[in-house]
Amino acid sequence: MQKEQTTTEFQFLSGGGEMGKLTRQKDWSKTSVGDPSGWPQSLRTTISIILNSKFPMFLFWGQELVCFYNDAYRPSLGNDGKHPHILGGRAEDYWQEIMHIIRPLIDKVLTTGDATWSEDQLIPIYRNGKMEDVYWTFSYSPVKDESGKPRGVFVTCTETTGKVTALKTLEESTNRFLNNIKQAPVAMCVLRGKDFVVEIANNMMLELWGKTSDDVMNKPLFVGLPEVKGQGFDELLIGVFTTGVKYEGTERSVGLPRNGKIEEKFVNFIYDAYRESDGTISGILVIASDVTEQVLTRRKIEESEARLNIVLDASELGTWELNLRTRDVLYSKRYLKVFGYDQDVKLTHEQLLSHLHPDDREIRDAAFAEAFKTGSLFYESRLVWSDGTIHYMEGKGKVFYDAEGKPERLVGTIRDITDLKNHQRELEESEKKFRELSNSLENLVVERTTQLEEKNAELEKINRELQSFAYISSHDLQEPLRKIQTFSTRIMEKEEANLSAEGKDSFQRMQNAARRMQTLIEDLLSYSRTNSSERKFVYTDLNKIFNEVKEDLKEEFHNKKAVLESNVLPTLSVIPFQFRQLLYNLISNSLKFSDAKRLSKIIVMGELGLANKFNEPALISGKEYCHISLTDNGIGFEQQYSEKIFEVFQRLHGRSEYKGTGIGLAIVKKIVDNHHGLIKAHGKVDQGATFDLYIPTS
Amino acid sequence: MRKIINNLILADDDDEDSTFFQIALDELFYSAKLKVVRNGVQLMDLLSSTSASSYDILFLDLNLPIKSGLECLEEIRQNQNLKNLIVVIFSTFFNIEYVQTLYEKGATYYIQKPGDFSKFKKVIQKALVNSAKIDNLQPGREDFILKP
Repeated sequence: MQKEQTTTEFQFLSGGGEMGKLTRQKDWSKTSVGDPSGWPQSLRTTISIILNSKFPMFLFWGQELVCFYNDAYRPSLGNDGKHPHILGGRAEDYWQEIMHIIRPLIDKVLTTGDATWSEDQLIPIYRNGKMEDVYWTFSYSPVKDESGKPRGVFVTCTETTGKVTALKTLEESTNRFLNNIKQAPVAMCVLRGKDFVVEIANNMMLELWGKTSDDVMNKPLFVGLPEVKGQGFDELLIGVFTTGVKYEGTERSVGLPRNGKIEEKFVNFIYDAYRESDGTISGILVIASDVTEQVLTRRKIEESEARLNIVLDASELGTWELNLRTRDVLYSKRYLKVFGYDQDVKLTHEQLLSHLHPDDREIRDAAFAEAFKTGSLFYESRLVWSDGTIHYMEGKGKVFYDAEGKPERLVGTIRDITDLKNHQRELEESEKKFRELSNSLENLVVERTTQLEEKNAELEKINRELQSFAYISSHDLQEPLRKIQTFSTRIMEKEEANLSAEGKDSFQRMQNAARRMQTLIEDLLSYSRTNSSERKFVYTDLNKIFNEVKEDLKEEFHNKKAVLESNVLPTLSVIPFQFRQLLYNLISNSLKFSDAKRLSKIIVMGELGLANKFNEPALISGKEYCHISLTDNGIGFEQQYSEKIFEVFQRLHGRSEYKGTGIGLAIVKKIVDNHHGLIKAHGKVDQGATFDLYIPTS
Repeated sequence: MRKIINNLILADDDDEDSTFFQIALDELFYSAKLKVVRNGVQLMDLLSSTSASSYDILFLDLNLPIKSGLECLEEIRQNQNLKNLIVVIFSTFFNIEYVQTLYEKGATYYIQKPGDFSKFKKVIQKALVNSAKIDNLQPGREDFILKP
């Protein structure tokens, strides 16, 4: 009650709610301020303002800095703290914990008289039973007494702890956000302003860009990453920046720097407006991921699918898939074609099966049964098209199993092999024909060969018979003939006187006939031997053979008074005894047909040379020959007989004029043939003859 | 050096030729002894006897029964005991190649039996005369064939 009295006593202490009441009830006499009655006017006025203000206010008064405050200030002191004891207390007793902060401010105000201003200042105070960080915006202003001297410090303050804490939280969340960007598992960055300055970009983004932090950080995006300029991204960014509408890009192709070159990459990305708290757009948040590998892989898959389709098309393979549970069947157009359908129609498995040739049903069923055992299907069967025609098909497939290992699907191909089958049949038929033909040819050849062999054997037999005939001729025929001659000469020697003139003439004729027969036999023998004798070529000096022949015919030359001349003859590979016979026959021939009217002269010349050296078209060009010529000055012959004279038994003169069997030159021809050579005769009646021989040297 | 040709052998299966040969020798007034054999085996038997070396000249027909004249010639020329025996081929048969073979086998002379008997005599005489004159068993190839 006493307190209320005080209130009435002092008008300046009226009102002020709880603090007004406390201030009125306080026994100020026990403080250095003393009883309110003694308070100066400036204090009274200030207290009045404080207690009646709704703004938090505090007052330090006097040397001891006695504390006053109002209801508005009270919450700042908390519930379990300084209130209400601090009222009238000394600052150093109650603000111990902050004296080091406020004392300099208070002193400054008291000495200079100037007010202070502090905003969001952290001044931790003890309240609510503990030290708390409390933020204040406050002003200390001097309260001057009547003499104009500052006697107190008037504090107006507002606690800004709530605002500061909110700001701090905001800052922390921003940091967290930035940190999140840094550590995000996708490429992220924030582009600030209309120039899209790279404010932050995580490593994944730098990696995607192919840049270092120094290249791009805090630079406009298209300055730090000029490679991307003009690829359409600037327009997108501007769009998002101006409209605020999020843009999502999928598998967008972009050329990015890699190892000094531009490589095509594919990215999925989001451009989202980065908004300030007031909703204005200040930048772009970019989230991107490199999907190059997926895109390339998918492209490869697409390509190989396309290739497969080409192959399937080219191979004329139809494809099908049979669901073994539902019996649903999927098939390609080509598949339908094999079944005879040009139009794309939907057929059930049963409808398709109805095309199977009834006789081939078993084949197909067996193949399917086998497929369920082995996993793969293969069979050939006939199909009956709707038009009744029969076609061949080849089916291949693979069984796919479900998780429990039960057959689930059959996937396969089908191919029309009608043409193949037809070709195969044609081929088989033509092969069969060929085999028959070849068999019959073979038989024919065997038959002909047998015939030839028989003929050969027959010929050999005849040849042998001829040889034995020649042998018989030489001995068994010659012997009795010679006997006739011997006996006849004996008779002529001993009994000539007893014979009549006619008898003598007849006897003479008989002897001539016998001599002719002897010559004939000898020549025939010689001719046949030329056929059959062993032909052994020996490298022979022709001069040696020539001299032997010359010697054999020495007497004949002497009798005829003929001359035989030759140059030095070459050495040549010949059958020696045959070549001797050849020279013998040729020279004998010339000798026989010598002209009695003049001195007979036979010249033999030999030379080697290539075919073109000799004016003889029948020779083989480029081949080397030995040319032997024999020239005589005998009776000659008409050129038209130049071939005929080499034939057996061909004679140009009567027997009475020139003896001979007509075999000699035939033997010559035969020997030349045996030497693979050529002989030509040139004759002029009454002037002589020339025989040209060309024997190849190899 | 002149040899004395005294002991002759004629190897010939032909009786008439043997007769002709003897007549020829007689008419040529040769007193030489003629031994006639009918085949090659007889000839070789004779030549392997102790008296073999006493024969001076052999007139050898080629067409001999049992063993041919060529076979006999080969055996004779391989036999050292007969190194002085003159062998005159005396055959109806004439063939240059065969004549060459005979020369190479070591025959001394070759005579083709002439039909004319006077030539028959003459060629035998030539053989006997030449054989007496010849120093060795073979003349040059050019003198190998004897003609009447």
